[in-house]
Amino acid sequence: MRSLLIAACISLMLQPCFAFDRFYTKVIDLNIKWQFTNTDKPEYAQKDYNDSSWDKINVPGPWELFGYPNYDGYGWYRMHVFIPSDLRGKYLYFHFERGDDVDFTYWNGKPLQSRGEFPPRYDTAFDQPRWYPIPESFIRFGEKNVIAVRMYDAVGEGGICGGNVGIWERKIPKILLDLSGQWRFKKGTRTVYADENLNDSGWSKILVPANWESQGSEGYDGHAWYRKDFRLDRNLKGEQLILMLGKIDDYDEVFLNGVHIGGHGLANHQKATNATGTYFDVERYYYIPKHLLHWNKDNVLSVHVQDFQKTGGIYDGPVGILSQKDWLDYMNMINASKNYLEE
Amino acid sequence: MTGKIKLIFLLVCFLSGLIAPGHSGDFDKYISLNGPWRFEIGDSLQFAESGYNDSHWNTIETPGNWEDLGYPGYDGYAWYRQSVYIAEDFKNYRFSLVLGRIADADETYFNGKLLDKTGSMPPHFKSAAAQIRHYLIPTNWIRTDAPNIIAIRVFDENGSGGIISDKVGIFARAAYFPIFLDLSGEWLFQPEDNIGKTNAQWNKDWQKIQVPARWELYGYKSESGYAWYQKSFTLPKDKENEHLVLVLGIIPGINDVFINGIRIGGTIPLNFDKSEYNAKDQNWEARLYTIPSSLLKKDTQNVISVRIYDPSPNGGILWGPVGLMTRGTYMTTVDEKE
Repeated sequence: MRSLLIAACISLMLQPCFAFDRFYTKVIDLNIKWQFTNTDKPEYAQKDYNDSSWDKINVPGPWELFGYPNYDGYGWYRMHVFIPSDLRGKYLYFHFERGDDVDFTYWNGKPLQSRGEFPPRYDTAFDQPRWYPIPESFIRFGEKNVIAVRMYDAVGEGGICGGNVGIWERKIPKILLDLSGQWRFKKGTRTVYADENLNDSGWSKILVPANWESQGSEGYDGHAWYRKDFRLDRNLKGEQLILMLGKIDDYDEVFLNGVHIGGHGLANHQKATNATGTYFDVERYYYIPKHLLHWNKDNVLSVHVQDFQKTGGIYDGPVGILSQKDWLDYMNMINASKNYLEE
Repeated sequence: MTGKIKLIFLLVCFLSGLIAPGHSGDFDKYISLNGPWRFEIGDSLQFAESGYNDSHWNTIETPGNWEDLGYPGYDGYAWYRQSVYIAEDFKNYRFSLVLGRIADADETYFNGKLLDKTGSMPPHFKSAAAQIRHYLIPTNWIRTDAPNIIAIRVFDENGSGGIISDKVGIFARAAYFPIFLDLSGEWLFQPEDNIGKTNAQWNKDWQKIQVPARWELYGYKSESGYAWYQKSFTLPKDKENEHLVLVLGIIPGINDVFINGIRIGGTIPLNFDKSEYNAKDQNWEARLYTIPSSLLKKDTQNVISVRIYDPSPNGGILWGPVGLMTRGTYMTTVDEKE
């Protein structure tokens, strides 16, 4: 119960809507006309696809209002957006709301994230606000980038129907070592996957953070493991460090070099079986016990994730290592902001 | 401890009047220990030792959930350490350490010795997160010549961890008993009834136990609920002609007291039947017994025997002071207090 209460408090604290204007700033407005088609082809995702003949349609708003009355089914949105070089190093999101009903979003042709499920296992996500962190490696700074959004609407209004659409910058703590990017991934529950010396070279690769449905595991609900090797700068020896794992849907348990360092839900199996609380919106932070770290070789992070329904996996960032001091400052800032808004 | 923390606590002691206790009507004192404590995750029984050098440890605000204070997600063992100065004028005070709520289990050491514990550590883990810790500190454990070291071993299984809420500090309750001979410390102990057999004679082969403390803390269990305590003392020359009062601190259970084998008082009824015992009848008042002068031997050893019946885990001579006072000085103190 205790941990549920904490989870509830943290999730309240970290809800973007609470501290919105202080932590999230819109840097590029995309409440403009987008290229649109009500056809569906895989090549529409590609960066260099020529969409000049497509219709131009207002965003946000249901496509029914802009020339496609009573249309249900697939539609694609494309946007060519210039990303200035001074956004390099910032933590950027692509955001929209009321994606009615299902979307799969690509950035420069690469799968970014998705919400909901396309037919035949259709599942709507119209009520989930989309906050898709954009990996810096995906972005071409000082150039036009291409966002392509495949949407499926089952009934009623369809398309990117709401939200303050655009590229948003989020204020994040100072990250000493970025752990986002490619991780290794395997479905299953085997606890041996936590082992430091496990040979995981045969595992598949996955982007972190991103929901696993967008990275080759459409429709998967259940257990999976993530693994990542990292090496720390020796100058950090003696420093108190915190692992920031972003948001995970739903449960997680985290191992550093084979040793459990924390978790939500899964950490206590007994509680997991009758848990009524959820953790999917809780930002994960884990203290790294100093004695577990290697300084002369790679460290291995293993994360066991259990997803019960819909979105699964480590789906929001940032993901990395920060100092305890910077973490405390950041949490104080969040609390101060929360108090400010409450006043 | 760093100089800074020492300074803070000297300041705290000063502000709360501990360094120079006030007038005689001012009986109870409180030393707040809220604020930064030394903190280290991990586990080693060396951390309990009063001489352990914790200067390289981090500090943490106490009370507080360590998950919010720099150790998010951490479950497992961690240690807290603190030092506190106690002025010499407090010789006759009774001290208790108040630690509020601790998630989930703790073992608390005072000057290197196990003071008390709540909940239990793995492998027989038992959470006691909701319980307020209120630990009695034996008077003779307290140092007035050097800082006293409090070391707390905490195990957290899940969620919030550490000394999580409420007050942290030391209560000093004025002892209204002007004791001239302190009898706290090592006593002889036997966790069973032997009234018919040895009849309260000196039993030097019995086991040893600290007084005051509940007997369970020293690993003793009494199947029958009965236990015996014994202590010997020699009467100081200048007290030979005084009327003496034996102070036995707090004994929640029912008890009988013997001097040199003769019963001088008690609360265990004759032909006592255990089924008559009601836990609600526990007595938390200090036990005072006037000692008939004729029973005391001069120039040789006198033996105090205490027979206790208490079926709860809190059995024993729980809290001090334990010792001898003269009736005259006691009456003077009572008058002053009133």
